Amino acid sequence: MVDPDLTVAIAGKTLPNPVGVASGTFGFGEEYEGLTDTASLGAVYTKAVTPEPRAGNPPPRLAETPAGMINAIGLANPGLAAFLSEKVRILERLPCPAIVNVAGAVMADYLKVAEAMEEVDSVWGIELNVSCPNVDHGGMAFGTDPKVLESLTYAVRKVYSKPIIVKLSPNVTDIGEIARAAESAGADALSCINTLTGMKVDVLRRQPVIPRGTGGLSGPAIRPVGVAAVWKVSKAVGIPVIGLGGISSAEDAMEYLLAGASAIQVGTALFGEPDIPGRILGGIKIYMVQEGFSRIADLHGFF
Amino acid sequence: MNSGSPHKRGKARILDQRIIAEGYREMKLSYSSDSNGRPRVRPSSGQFFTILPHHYPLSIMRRPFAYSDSDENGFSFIYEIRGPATRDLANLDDGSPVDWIGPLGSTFPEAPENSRPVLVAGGIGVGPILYLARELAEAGAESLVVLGARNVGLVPRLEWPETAEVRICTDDGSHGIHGTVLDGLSNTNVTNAAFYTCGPHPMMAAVHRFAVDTDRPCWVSMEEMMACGVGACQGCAIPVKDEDDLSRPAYKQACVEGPIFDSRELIW
Repeated sequence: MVDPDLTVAIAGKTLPNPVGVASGTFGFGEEYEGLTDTASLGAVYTKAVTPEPRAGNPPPRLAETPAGMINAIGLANPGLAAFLSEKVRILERLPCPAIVNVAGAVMADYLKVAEAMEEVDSVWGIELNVSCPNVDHGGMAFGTDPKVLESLTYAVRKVYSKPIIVKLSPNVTDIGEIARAAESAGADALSCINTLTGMKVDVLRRQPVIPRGTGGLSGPAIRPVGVAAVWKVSKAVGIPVIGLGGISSAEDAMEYLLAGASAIQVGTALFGEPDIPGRILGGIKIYMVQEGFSRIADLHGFF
Repeated sequence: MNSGSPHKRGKARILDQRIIAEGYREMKLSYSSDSNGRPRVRPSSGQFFTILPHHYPLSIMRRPFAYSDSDENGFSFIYEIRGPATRDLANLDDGSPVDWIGPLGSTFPEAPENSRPVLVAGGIGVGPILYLARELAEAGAESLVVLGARNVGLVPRLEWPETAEVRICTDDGSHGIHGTVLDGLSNTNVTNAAFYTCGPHPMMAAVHRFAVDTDRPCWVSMEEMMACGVGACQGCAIPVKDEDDLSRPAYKQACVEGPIFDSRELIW
């Protein structure tokens, strides 16, 4: 029996395997030292980087919900200068590809960070965060209007030559239309989905648990939404789709891969089981061997 | 994987748990006997661990708890039944497995020389304070422990070291001193006190103000919702003073920069 080919090709570059860790859940790649083996990861998608440091939202920033959680971190990050001086050397030591999540309030913010990443050899590619529901400016606004997303992606494409992955929001009417806009402007891959807008209310305080009201819902609760989005998007575009949303087992990952994803990201499940990516990868291998698949692309097209 | 990081994920089994006050339990666990069972370093007072909920992933977030004791064979903690996950915990049989990550976070710092540790606790804050009192006793240091509770039913039944002078205060006067923990500190010479506190936010804020008024050091153990527990998710933000720009919000992470903070660092 030949081992299946688990590599993932994006814009002429290759990820060693399809199991990455999602932005915002894995810091800048060193926080889980001692708890997980980064050598087994397909990619680390970093915490979002914005030009200026961001303190993030006031607490509480988290609330547990059935089979999920709501977060409103607010893109807290040290900013581009501190990223370059402190975080790049962590990414250089990572034994797997590092993909930097890029965010901003205005288009110039994205361009500034993308331009800086062009110069950093240890950055494999960037993921454009146009789908964060937890900030007042930018964030999701770039990912909900196809024309706005098209011009942003086009502008970033002009300053960034390595792989550009656009992270899509599920909080839209027609995710296929948004996906096509990103593809036509030069995106190399799409990741979907970011969190769904959600709210939890403290009935005794008669206030939302999260001070800003809404946050982003993640976890197994959103998995069916993510699988459906990947299925729609993969039919709408020709570029690879990276699936995420509520994956906590190999079977969950297989749902995404069979729905059209070429790779997946594990997010919220890392909090519970930091070593789950390696076990998911092992499970994908077993499935492919037992079911007779030699490469990930062969999983596509059944429905 | 086998790195310099002090924490790890491991398994333990529940030895026993007992009711120490209305709605409060003390759980004792022993590390599993295989090679993955024990932590890399012995947890110290102030530190915490997280456990995977019994119904994971239907309940997705690990729950953080402060150690109330620890030795080579296992550890203890005190918890309050607050919701479904802690209710599940209370219903687990002795011998049940528990999936932990620890030890996490910062420790209570040593008191300055010639000072007297004054430990103030309420609610589940009694857990880390009990561990600190035990560590101080091991080191041969005396301490004053002041416990606050709403009424006698909520006063924790615990064994304190002999070197600790324990004062109990109840809001309704049904046990010990009638009043708050500050009433428990009245008529006390605090000129050489070093305050350590863990408990409800208003209680810690009051102890902080008392420490500032008496010009004594004060360390607090902060509680906040956590997801990762290791500094990755930025979920457990604690508002702090930004010395460079007081108009700007600034936060520290309870999990890796705390949970123990110098009270003067925080915005109360």
